[in-house]
Amino acid sequence: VKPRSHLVRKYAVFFAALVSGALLVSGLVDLYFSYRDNKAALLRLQREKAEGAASRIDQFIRTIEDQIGWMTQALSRRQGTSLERRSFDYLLRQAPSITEASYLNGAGREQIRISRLGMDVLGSQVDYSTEPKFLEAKSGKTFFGPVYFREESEPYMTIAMSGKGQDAGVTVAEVNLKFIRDVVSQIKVGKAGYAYVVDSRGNLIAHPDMNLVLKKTSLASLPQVRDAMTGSPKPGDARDQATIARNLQGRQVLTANAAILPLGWLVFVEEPLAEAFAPLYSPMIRTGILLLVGLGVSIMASVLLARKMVNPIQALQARAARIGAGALDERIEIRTGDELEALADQFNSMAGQLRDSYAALERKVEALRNSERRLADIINFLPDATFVIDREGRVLAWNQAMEEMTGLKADEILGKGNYEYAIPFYGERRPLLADLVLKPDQTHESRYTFTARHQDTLVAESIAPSLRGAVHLWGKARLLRDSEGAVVGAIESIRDTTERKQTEHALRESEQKYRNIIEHAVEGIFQATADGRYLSVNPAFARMCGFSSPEEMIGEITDIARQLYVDPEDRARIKRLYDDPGFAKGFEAQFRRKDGGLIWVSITARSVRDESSALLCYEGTIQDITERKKAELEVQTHREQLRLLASELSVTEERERRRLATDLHDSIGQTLAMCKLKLDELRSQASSDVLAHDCDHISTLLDRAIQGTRSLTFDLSPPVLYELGLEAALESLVERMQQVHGIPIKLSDHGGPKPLSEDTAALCFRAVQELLVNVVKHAHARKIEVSTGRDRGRIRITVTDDGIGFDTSESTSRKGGKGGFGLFNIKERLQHLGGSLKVDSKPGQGTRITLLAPLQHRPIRKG
Amino acid sequence: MKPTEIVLSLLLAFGLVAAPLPSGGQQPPKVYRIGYLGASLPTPASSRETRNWKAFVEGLRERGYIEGQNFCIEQRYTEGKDERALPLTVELVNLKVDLIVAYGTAQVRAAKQVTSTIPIVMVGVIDPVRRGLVANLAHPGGNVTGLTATVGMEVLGKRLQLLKEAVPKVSRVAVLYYSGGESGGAASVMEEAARALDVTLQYYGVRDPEELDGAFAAITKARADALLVDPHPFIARQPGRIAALALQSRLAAVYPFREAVEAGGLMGYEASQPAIYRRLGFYVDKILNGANPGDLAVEQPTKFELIINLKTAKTLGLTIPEPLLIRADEVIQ
Repeated sequence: VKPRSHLVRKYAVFFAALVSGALLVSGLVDLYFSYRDNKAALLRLQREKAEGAASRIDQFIRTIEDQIGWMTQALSRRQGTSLERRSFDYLLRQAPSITEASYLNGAGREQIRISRLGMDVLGSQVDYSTEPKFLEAKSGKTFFGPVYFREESEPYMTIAMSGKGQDAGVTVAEVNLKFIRDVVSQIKVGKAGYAYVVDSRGNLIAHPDMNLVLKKTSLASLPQVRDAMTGSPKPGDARDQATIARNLQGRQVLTANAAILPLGWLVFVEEPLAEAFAPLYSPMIRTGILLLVGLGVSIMASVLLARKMVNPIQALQARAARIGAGALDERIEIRTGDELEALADQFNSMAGQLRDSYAALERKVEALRNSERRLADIINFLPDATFVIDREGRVLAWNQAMEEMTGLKADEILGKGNYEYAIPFYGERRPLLADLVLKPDQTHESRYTFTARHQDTLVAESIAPSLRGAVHLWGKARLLRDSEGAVVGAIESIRDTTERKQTEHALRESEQKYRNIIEHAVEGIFQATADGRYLSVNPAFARMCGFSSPEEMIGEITDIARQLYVDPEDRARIKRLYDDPGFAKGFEAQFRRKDGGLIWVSITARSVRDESSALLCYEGTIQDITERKKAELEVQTHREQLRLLASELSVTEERERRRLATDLHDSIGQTLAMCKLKLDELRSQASSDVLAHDCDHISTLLDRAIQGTRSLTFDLSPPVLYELGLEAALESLVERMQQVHGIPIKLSDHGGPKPLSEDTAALCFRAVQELLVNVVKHAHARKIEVSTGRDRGRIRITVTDDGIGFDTSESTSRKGGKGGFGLFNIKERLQHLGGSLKVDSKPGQGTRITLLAPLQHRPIRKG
Repeated sequence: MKPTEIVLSLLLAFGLVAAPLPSGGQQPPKVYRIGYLGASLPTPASSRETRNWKAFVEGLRERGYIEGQNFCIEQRYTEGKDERALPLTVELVNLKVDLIVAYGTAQVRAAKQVTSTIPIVMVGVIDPVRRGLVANLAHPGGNVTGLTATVGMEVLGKRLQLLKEAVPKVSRVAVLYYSGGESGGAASVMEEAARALDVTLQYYGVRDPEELDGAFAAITKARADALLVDPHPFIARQPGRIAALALQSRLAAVYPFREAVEAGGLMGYEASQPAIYRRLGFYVDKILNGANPGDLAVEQPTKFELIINLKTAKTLGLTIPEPLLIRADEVIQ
């Protein structure tokens, strides 16, 4: 228990108050008296300053008086203006404050007056005998006139003195009191203080600020001046030495005054109050500081003393507190020898007794604790979050898995009831399964997604919204009974099933996704067995085959090979592909639809096997390619027609050539030959050389025409082809080519009759002609070989050269050369006639072209 | 109690004693603009104007006024032409000067005519009351105050007396004066003195340095036996020339300026100048600190100096009487 107020504080305050109080009182008393004494001393000092100032001003006046006195004494002994004059000149030199000086004779008449400013006057004899300055001086005293102001500004005073003797004259001096300023301003009163002089009427006559004097300032209104004026200025006056008053500027000053007796003037000294009293304050501040230091020290001492007194009590208290907290082995060691020590001993024996009984208790508790700990360990070890409540719903156990699930530490929740343990799950206080098994409650049970009760056990599923998002929980609770079978509480285990639920959900979703793909695929998809049944088909496949649904198709098709394949062999072929290489790609077959219609399909499928390579099924996709097939057939047909047309064209061309060639040979050729014969006759009969020469010339021209006609005939359609057959025509062709191009061409024939239709012969001839031209033109060959022979009911012609060769992939598809056949044309037309063309060539290795054409059993027509 | 607590309690004890010091806010000093309306530029260094100017500046510095730091000064000079005083004052007023220091009667009068609000501190003026520049000396009223050149006008006669004393046989005295200014009753004072001393005065006015030669020729022609120089700033500008001309004309002369004597004039009598010019600082300071110029008494000089040049006396063949030499404050051998 913490005491509300500490003993140390109480004692410390008490001692401090005692000591400090005494210190304070003595300090303040000291302060008061020192202030009073110092102030009195200050005031005395101020008064003394005033006296000093007064004496200096008095001295100033006395000096002037003396100077006048000396001169007067000198004058009284002698007479004569020049001498007087010289004395006065001296006087003015000696006393700068005297502006004017005059001498009155014994009768009071002015004898001389000299001035610093005005004209000197000699012997004016003006009568001053009734004036006070004369009368008073004559009476033996020095006359000090009242202060007057020249031109209402400069303070002046008249001083008059008489010489010794009845007839002695009087010296009158006008003294400019401005000069007192020099004296006054030299009087130092502190730093900012000063002295000033007023005359008996209170007019300022000397002040450090000359201008105030020149302004004829009256100070009679100031209380301190008024007071000083009313009091009779006597020496040794016991009036208050100095007063605090306001000066002309209204500032607070400490002021004192002293009288200058013969003149009736007053000298004031004043000093700003703050400055004057500064020496008063510094000892006060010093005393104050010492007092505070003393206070501080006394407070410290008080605290230390109080602590020393209270220390054993605090030790006793602290030890007692530790015994109270269970540290029974502690002994209180206090050796003060007083009641405190006795108290400590009593504490010690009490603690001993306590320790014995405590040990016995501890043993029993230890046993109990061990068994509890074992149980707690077991619960704690359980992988499922598990907690135990008693009959009142207070938490008895809360295992580690529970801590992890709820984030609530066991020591935070143990012993708490009122459904607090439900908060981490549901964010509210509500019964959990453990409570429901203790106290069935339909409304709460209905909040679970699933419940099952069996005797003392309750199983349920629910969603806990407060556990890091919605968590699916599976819980199981059971009543706990004691050895007599009475219910003592309940235990509940909770399992987080969220992950499992999510997995199930994901699986369902992915299944659905694949099903969708299959259902909505445009291609047919199937799984089939080796014995000819479908395991599954998609709607697209079913539609393709004319079935209204996959189910119908699967039901009706029991033998795929017979029911679907137009040619059941196709099914056998594709099954072989499934075995090796294990798949079929783009396998084309014709299917029969349910309505009997035929379709072409392309199958891409594979065999599905288990780990031991045992066949499970075939699966794959199937595409309806009927349209494509149709298009392909059409293209084929068109191509055939084209070939036919080309062939017809070629045959027609050949016939036309032949007709032209025949005409040329038969009519023009014959006519030219006749001409030649006739001309030869004419030549032999020629009588003149000229005629003979002309005949020779014409004969040459005719030969050339005959030759041209033959060549033209051959080019158009070599008559030899039709007359003597292909071999002879080729011979003639080779001969001509050798003549024209100078390349050796070897022609060989492998015997045997080779009956050819006219068209075929013409085509073959033209083909060889074209090939040779090509070789000559492009192949740069040195040697060409042409051979003919029979090959299984066909004629074979090969043209071989040793030229530069070419890339075969380009040549056969290329269009032929200008005006000629071109390999492509040859090939097309040979194919139309039932023959073929084959090219063997590589760049740099020569070319070999083989023509094959069907033979005809009918011999070639002659004529 | 922990050691820190002890220290704290001690600190607290001392802290109570040490009262917080008032922090004096430092404001940049106001820069005052002072107008100076003079008669001549302060050149050369030995001139009267330079001496006076130096004393003026010194008086200001004594009271904490440093040119360029807390005041600047605008100077205008009439350069021997009194009529220029008026436009020059207008220039100063347009410059918005805080006060005008004016040297010479004409300058002060011009300033007083131009402004009745800007304070005017006068210097070198003879009898400002009689000349109507101030109401009276103790309480001048208006915006003019300052220092006089002399005490009243008597000194004009005093100079004649001193001349007569130095050269007793003098009977015809030529008076050289500036004809472009106001006389202000000076003539009557001098005439009165002349009667008392039994001399006759002949007046020779000049208003231009060119006229000096002519004036001296006229003086010589008129057989004057001594010369009295009337104080005026114009005359003060050329002490050397006038002293030389006087010497050349063998005239015993009395001057109102010591500089003329220093330059070879016979004798001079005037109030001590540097003290007057230094004192100007008092008026400037009071007025800039808010004093009303009309409330500041006009001060008159206290110290007058008689200066005699014995060298010149010797040149002129004169013997200065002993009493005069006794009274002389300075004798140039």
